[in-house]
Amino acid sequence: MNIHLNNVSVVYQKKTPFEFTALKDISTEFNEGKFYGVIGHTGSGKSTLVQLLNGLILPTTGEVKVGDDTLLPKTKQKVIHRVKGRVGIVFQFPEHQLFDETVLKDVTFGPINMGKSKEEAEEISKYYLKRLNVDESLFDESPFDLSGGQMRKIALAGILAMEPDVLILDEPTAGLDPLSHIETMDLFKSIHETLGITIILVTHDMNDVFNYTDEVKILSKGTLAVEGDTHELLQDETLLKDYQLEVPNVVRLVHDLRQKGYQLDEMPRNIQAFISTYKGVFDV
Amino acid sequence: MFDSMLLGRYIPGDSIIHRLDARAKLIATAMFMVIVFFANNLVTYLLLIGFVLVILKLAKLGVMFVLNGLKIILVLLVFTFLMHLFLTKGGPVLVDAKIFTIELEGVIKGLYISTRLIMLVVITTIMTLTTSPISLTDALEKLASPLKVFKVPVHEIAMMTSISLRFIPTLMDETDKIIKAQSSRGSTFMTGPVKNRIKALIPIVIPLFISAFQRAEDMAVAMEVRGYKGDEGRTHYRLLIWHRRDTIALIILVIFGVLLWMLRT
Amino acid sequence: MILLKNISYKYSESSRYALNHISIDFKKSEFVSIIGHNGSGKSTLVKIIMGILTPTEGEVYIDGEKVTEENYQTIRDKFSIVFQNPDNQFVGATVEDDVAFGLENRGVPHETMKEKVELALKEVGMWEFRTHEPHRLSGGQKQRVAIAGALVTNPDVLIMDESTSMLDPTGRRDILSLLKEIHKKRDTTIIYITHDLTEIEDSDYAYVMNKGEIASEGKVYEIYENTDVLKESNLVLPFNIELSEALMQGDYMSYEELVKRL
Repeated sequence: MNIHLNNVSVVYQKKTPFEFTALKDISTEFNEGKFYGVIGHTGSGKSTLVQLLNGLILPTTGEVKVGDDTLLPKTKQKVIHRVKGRVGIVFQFPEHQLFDETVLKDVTFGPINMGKSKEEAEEISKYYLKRLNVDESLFDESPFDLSGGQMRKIALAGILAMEPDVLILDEPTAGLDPLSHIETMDLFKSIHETLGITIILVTHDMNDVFNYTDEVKILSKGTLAVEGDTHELLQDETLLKDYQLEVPNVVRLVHDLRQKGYQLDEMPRNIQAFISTYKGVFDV
Repeated sequence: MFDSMLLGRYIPGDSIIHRLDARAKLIATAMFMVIVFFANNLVTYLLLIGFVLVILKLAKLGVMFVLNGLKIILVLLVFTFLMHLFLTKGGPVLVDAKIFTIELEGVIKGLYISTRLIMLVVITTIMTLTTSPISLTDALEKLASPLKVFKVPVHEIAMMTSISLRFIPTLMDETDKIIKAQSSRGSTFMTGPVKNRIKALIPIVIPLFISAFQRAEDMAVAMEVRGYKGDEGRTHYRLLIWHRRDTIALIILVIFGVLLWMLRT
Repeated sequence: MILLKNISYKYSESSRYALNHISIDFKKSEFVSIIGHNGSGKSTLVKIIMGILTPTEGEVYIDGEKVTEENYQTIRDKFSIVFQNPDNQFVGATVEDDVAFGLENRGVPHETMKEKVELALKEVGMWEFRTHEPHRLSGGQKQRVAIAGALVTNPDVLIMDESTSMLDPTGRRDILSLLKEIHKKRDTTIIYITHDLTEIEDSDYAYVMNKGEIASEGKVYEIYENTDVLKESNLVLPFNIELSEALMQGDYMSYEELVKRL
């Protein structure tokens, strides 16, 4: 399933002294099966953009085409509801949305809302909980008795159990310690690879963008500034500087070493890949 | 969804109304609430409307903008108007529909009472729009301090109020976030039968409560660590300063009140 | 300055000790980091230093004085602390009100208060934001305000309890360099609690905590070179350490140095 945005603008609190244009005339697309990065300085409109994709925010002007459905300024709830089933969002601290008595009940919330029967919903939920390595003995426990990391997995299972075609991750690692950060990102990577879901990652972390995504969209002041191949764009240090974005560590390293005269043709995705590719080059 | 709600909001500014002492504004609002009831004929009501318009102008607020904020009491307004329309009798009969009649007095009374209500809400809205919540709490604490004699915990109430006010935007953001998260999971608390809607509130209310308690706990520790021990021996960073303009403002209001009193029938 | 003697702590609902025989001597004017993964016991340690928790075993001495139920209130005035969540420690309605909070509580006269608030806000670069309300500030700005509010009472010790963990990378770096500046100018002892190894680079001394115990301690380069302990403690190596481990036999060096040596 592909998503197209055609000349989309979003204005908040229209016709009040608080009026604020969050997005201006955006046209772009998200295609099936890819891993996208959406980046930009704070307040560039990243969150607004991704919330358009599942109907949480409707465009003030323009249209968002999600598969066969079209989201317009006055689209009906029924259509929005359908779109929500196809595009899932994981927000920052997803564990904060847990509410039900048991793990299993919480995970079935989404699929039941989408019209699945209780039995069907439980079956799907169990499947995804197991995929995320949540032990079966926990299914009837209260989610609030579990560790933060497990709660996060359960919240994620709750969204995967809706079986969306597209998964949006809105700063999923903000506030996590480095180890949980790596574990969480690896989890998303395996979801992407094994389930073939399109992933759209909103983040400040350029190392993650460089490591995991295929394509990147850079937002600036509510407009789509640049889009294209991640590997290409994030090697352009001047471009990153223009949009106040950090240079990924591995890019900085390779550039610095090239400057010193090393012949490093290939740009690895991360430091580990750098070490395994170039370990023999350095003789210290 | 809270976009058009103006009651309780504050818009920073530099108008003469903004600069008045919060105590003066509180007292004036209280006085105005009494004065509103003096009006009982066309002249006094017109004067009342004129007076409020002048204040709006002085506060540099748009008429339409403030009226927009009245949406929240629209139901109450319509209800009040209809009550008087049908129940007040007197004067020529305008409509006679067998089961009920509408008489001239009813129309007039309905209009008058609605105007009164609108004026009350507009004046209160002007006060909150032009006074920062913190100054308002300070003013309340000052004005209510004589009650300390009767063991009323004035300081504690003021402190609680000011912290609650400071947390309103934070909790609104939080609510918004949780609503978005649950609504992404297909929760439909905005549509469907009332019973379902109430049930759909649970996934929103529970996470909200959990986080609010967490915040409260953190806040209590932070306050204690920063040396908060209650009112005793405490000094104040903010001082309310009463200027001559505050006295003048109140005198003007008194004169206006007297004028209205004399013109009433 | 602060001496922890053989501290153990067990939460009543838990069977395991959260802290196990911890002894630390924090010296005056030092910038000390405590690093540990979630659940390593570092937050419990902070609560004990602050007197929020009473140790199950062991004693805390502040300036040579043993901390007891009776005197911890007065002793606590020597500390300031900046917590993790910038929203949950912002008491005042505006930036200046919040900074003044600690002074109000200590009964500082109005005029002195005005001066101190101005100085503190200028020190953290937030003076021009003094009338702003908290929800109009970024996370990093809120933490700057929290630091101003902590410094305004002129404490001997400033504790940063995972104060950067909820900030974006820019916000983090920003707060760290501000702290470095503050440490250079004042002789405040800074205790910096974190789970991120990249943040301890400029500390004078550091402790690694794991499962309620001190897994290693030393100068920062010593900590960094002991990569086995770090991995065992569930900590993620900063990329320069990872590189030097793989390419330079593990000798610690900063990124710049590393590039120079290669």
